[in-house]
Amino acid sequence: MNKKRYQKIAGYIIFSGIIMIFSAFAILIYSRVYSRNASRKIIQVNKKIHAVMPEITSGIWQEQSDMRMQSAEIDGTDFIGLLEIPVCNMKFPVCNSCDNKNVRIFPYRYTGSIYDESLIIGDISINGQFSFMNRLPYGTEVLFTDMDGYQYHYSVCDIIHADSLEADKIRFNQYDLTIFFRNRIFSDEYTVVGADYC
Amino acid sequence: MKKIIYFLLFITSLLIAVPLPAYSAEQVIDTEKSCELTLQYCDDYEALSNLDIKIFHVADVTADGEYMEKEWLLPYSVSVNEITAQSEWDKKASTLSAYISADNLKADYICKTDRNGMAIFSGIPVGLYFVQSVNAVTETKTTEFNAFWLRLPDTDENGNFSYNTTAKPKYSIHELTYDETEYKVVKHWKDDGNIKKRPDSITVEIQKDGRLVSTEYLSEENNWSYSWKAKNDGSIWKVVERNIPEEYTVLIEEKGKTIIITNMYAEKHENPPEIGSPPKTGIHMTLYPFIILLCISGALMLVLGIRLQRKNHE
Repeated sequence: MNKKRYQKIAGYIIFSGIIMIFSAFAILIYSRVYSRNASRKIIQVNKKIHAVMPEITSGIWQEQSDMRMQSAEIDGTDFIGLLEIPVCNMKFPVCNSCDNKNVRIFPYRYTGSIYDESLIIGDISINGQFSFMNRLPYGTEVLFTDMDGYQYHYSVCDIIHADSLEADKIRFNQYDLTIFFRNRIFSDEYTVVGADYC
Repeated sequence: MKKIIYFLLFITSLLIAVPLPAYSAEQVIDTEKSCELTLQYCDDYEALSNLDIKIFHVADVTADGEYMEKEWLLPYSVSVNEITAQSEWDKKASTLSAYISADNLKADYICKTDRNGMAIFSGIPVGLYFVQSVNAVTETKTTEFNAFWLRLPDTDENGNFSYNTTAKPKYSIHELTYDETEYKVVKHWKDDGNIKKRPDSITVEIQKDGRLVSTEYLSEENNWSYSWKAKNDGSIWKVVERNIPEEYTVLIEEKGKTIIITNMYAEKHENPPEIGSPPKTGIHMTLYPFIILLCISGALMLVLGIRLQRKNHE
């Protein structure tokens, strides 16, 4: 009787082990497919944004009383512009705000405005699409184009690794444009890229 | 000694008695006075004659320079008070120009440019004026003179009010190719992402040379945009929004062949996140740790299960 029971238990354990390994592979495949679909969606949204964006011209700093950024609604989501790193051939549409549906795919405006040099862009997507920024050399060109087609040029001047986004550790307001993203697997470690207008 | 004192007193009395130019400047506008305005319409090649120049009296100006807007301006939500930047003046000019054209509003003063490209307006009262945009079209090119605002009296280089003003509007020259060109109208929002307040659709009227061509509806279905093709023959295309949503004001800008209609929510209600607080989402970890954990656990279970089975057989 004991033998049969042990055999049964062993069977269940082996079966559980197989299910776990199978689940791990299923999650991995899902994650890959999700990443690929996310990349495709980003390319699609980029095209749609270009379709509604006027001719791109150089942005000039103009005094204005209303510093809010204008947004365009594409497929039900508000976008404020395009973030580009030409040297890496990367271009991302930036959402106007953080919502659970879109934050997994697109970077978003955490706070601030491009017009008063307080814009902070965050990315916490699960496909780690901003990880390449960890290796960006200082002086790399970063472009931000708003929905009116005005393009602003920045240059990377600082890359900080921090275990949190606490204000006393990361002085966000010292850069003209700040980008942060989560990059460690097991903790909430962030990389903060600071860029100044050039 | 006495002579020196008398001399100094004499100089002092002269200084008090004779008004110096700096103190004689008019600091207050004489609202009873009439003004003369000369506008010059010349481009890089020639003076443009026979153009209809229309000016609109948009606001009276008080003696201390404050604007009292005319009633006809109110429906167009183009307030001329509290504007602090030139860019805002430009955007409001573009907006008002579009509505004046679309609604065929009657100008307060009209004058044709003479052979020197001059339009002279005499005897007009003080106030804030809007000079409507105008195009001069030839067979090969079109010269677009921008709409602009003008306060009368103007101030000269010494800071004095000048009731006799000359102005030259900004212009741009475009070659006419007569090719089919794509025009588009896009809707932007300046409302801190307040999607719930937005209407399901908006109505826009597309006008060519002041005549209505079509009425279109922008909504989420067409990504709030509409495009059409037309010959590049110098025609003036304007787009205006009708039935502007409540609590929103409108600004219309033209950038190349794109007309941007921006609806701005009157209240700015963004609550910026406190710097230092991590972004709140449902995701706190990436998937890779689970994958690794599952693989290791699965492998351990497999090993354990096989070993149990072997032990059982023994």
